[in-house]
Amino acid sequence: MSDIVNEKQHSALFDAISGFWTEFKQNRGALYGLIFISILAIVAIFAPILAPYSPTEQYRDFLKLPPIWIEGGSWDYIFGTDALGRDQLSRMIHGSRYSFYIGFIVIFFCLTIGIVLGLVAAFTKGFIDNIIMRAMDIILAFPALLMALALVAILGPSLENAMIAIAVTYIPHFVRLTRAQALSELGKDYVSSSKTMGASKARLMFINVLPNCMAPLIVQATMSFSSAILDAAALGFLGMGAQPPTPEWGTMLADSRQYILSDPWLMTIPGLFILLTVLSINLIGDGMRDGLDPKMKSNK
Amino acid sequence: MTKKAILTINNLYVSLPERAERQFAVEDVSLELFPGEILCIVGESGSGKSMSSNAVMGLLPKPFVYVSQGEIIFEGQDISKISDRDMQEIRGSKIGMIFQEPMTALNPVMKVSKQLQEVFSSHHLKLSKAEVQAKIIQMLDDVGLPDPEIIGNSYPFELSGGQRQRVMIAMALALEPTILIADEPTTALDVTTQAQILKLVAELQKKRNMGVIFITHDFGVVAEIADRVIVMREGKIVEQGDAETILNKPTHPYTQKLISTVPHLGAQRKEPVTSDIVVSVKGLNKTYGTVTGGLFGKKGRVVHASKNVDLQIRKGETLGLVGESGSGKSTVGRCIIRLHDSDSGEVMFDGKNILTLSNKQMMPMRKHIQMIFQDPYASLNPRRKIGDIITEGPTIHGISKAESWQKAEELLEIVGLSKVALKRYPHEFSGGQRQRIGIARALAMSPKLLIADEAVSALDVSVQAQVLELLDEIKTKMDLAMLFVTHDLRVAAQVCDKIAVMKLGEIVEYGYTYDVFHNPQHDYTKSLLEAVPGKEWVVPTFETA
Repeated sequence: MSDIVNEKQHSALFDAISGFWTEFKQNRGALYGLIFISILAIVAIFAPILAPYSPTEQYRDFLKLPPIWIEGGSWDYIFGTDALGRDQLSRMIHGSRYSFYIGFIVIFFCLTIGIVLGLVAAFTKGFIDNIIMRAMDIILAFPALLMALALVAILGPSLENAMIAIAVTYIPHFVRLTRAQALSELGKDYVSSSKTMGASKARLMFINVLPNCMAPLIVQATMSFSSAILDAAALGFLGMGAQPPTPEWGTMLADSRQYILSDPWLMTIPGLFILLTVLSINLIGDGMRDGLDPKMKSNK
Repeated sequence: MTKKAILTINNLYVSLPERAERQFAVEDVSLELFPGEILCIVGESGSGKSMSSNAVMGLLPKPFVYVSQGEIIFEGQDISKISDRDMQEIRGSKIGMIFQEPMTALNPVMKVSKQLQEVFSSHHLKLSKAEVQAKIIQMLDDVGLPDPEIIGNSYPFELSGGQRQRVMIAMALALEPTILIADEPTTALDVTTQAQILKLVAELQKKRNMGVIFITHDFGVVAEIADRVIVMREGKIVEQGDAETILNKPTHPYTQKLISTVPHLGAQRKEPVTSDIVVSVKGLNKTYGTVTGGLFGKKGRVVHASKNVDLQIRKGETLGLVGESGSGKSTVGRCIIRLHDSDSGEVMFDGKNILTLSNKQMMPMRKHIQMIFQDPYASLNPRRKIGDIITEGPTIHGISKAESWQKAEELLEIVGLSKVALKRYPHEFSGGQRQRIGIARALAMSPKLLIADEAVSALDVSVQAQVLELLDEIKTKMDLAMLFVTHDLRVAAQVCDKIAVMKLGEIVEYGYTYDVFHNPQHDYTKSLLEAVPGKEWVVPTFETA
């Protein structure tokens, strides 16, 4: 008997995952995005092994060496070297770690704080709800990047502070989404039923309602992951994010700004990788939305 | 003399997408529609009755669902094979259609008269403005709307459900089609409104000698208006014939089974229950203020959902709370179980007024009062396993996981499900099975009072009969008091010992079921009973069923 139960259970879970996967892989873009991000993730994990040189060591004999596909390039420095003679490839490889670091930390803060505030707002209604939501409205009333800049100016320029600033500007979206989703779930009778059992507020929030709000939140988190990388790069470019010699992609862009006319590849390579990473994650987000939330699927 | 059919369907097959439950939504369906008759297509959900009519209208969700074989002959041509543009010409002008939801079938931001004008202009009729205007007024008048000018100048949200459905009918009939297809047009309406709409459809049909295809799941409605009946099941026609024969002497076992599950309207005289009173409600008041928005909101209109409601339920007794939508019947149930806070009054339970208890004091009382909800799809948490859902209550009240799991297994057996179900998710079950799970969940708390809020309204008749039987069985076995909230008088007649009729938050009549049904005192009760569709039809009983 128990064998049958286990087998059934396994197949139900398997069905859910395989259903998601069938939906997901129909979206070609999402599939390519996933492949690119997977490769990038592997590179990030094994960065110290894969990188041929240290990202901060300066090879003074080879300043601004062009990459291999441009005349004068050398196999020793495939992506060339920057103005201080640091190996671009090694810096790019180590930089990918920072991109994931930024993405994950920002999303972690946004999700935890956003979900808690959103659920509290949805469950209390009235006064506390008003306070939370108006505070979020105020944050949203500022242009996001400007707000982040102001926050970094107060906290002091560093990668960590830039991440905090970015997270703050993103939290309102998560709060709103959680609240809206929770409110619609709260109207359903399964919640009423738990109430009649005497379930506590915390139990209603986290065990009953939250799992039903996750699908759009996961999609939002994926999309924010890429925006976080982009915004961190923008802050880095403006000198308010990661500080040299950190090989963060946005900071690398900023460092090479003055060589945009003489040695354009210095900016092109980090710029291109930021573009590809953000694009891939957005495509994955699209695919996940189709797979997770059939209601939001665009008509085809 | 044989009449000539205006619509003939020959061996129609409608294909479904690959991953669907079955290959064909409609399989080998043939039927004929004659002028001046009402043909009812009856069946349970998923029987393909709506698909057949959508195929006629060319409204199938192509390219996933399409007519794969067969023909639909209208005015000498097969309309299942003509182009979309030609179909548009026929749709509306020669075949009209009305839908179930009058709320969504009208454009909410367009005035009624404007929407009616659309019908004329989209079919390129050369009419002057004044002519169109006069026609619109005439049409609105025809469907029995008072003050057609005013109605024409209103937006759909300003009209009631019945008025909207009348506007829909006016639109469908604007170009005097020869065929009217009505897809469950009265299902979303209250019983008195339903009676009016049914009368209207029958009248208009006679006056214009139209052929009407009327799709419904309700045998009462069939008895009320049908000339001929087709019974469908899983995409196939199981039986067809004239209404008289199908309703009273059906030959196919499935039809017999369906008809035998229709609750009898004539209430049986039951022994009065004289056991202890479980719950006693006195002077319960509840008002809803429509608060207009957020931080700077003001109090708006006030609605009395419950006005001095008194009622008592004894051990082993079922009290039916009946009324139309907006009568406050659900509110009363939800106030008793404290899902809503009430304004004043008392609910005596176990010697305590539970309305004045704090949340903490209420906790031990919670397990004595349980509720079964209307919508079996929304009342189970889709992300939790059945076992977790059923054992949630007992675990909250401090019963060990193992013990409550054990009990959940027993309960599932009682409600007729295998205990394998405990490890599955709600989406793997049908509506009826889910409702059984909902009942098991309520019983897991061993309640003394069970509140069933429209517990069988969302279910097909045959499933409804099974669930009612189950409820009755449980009530007797566990000696429960039950508050049965319903809008369906047939169901109420079958299961309740006593009936309380509610109107606009007040109980207008309260008494033993037999008395209420056979000797109603209040005018409102009389009009409700008058409006029950097919009230003259005595449901036959079959030896085999």
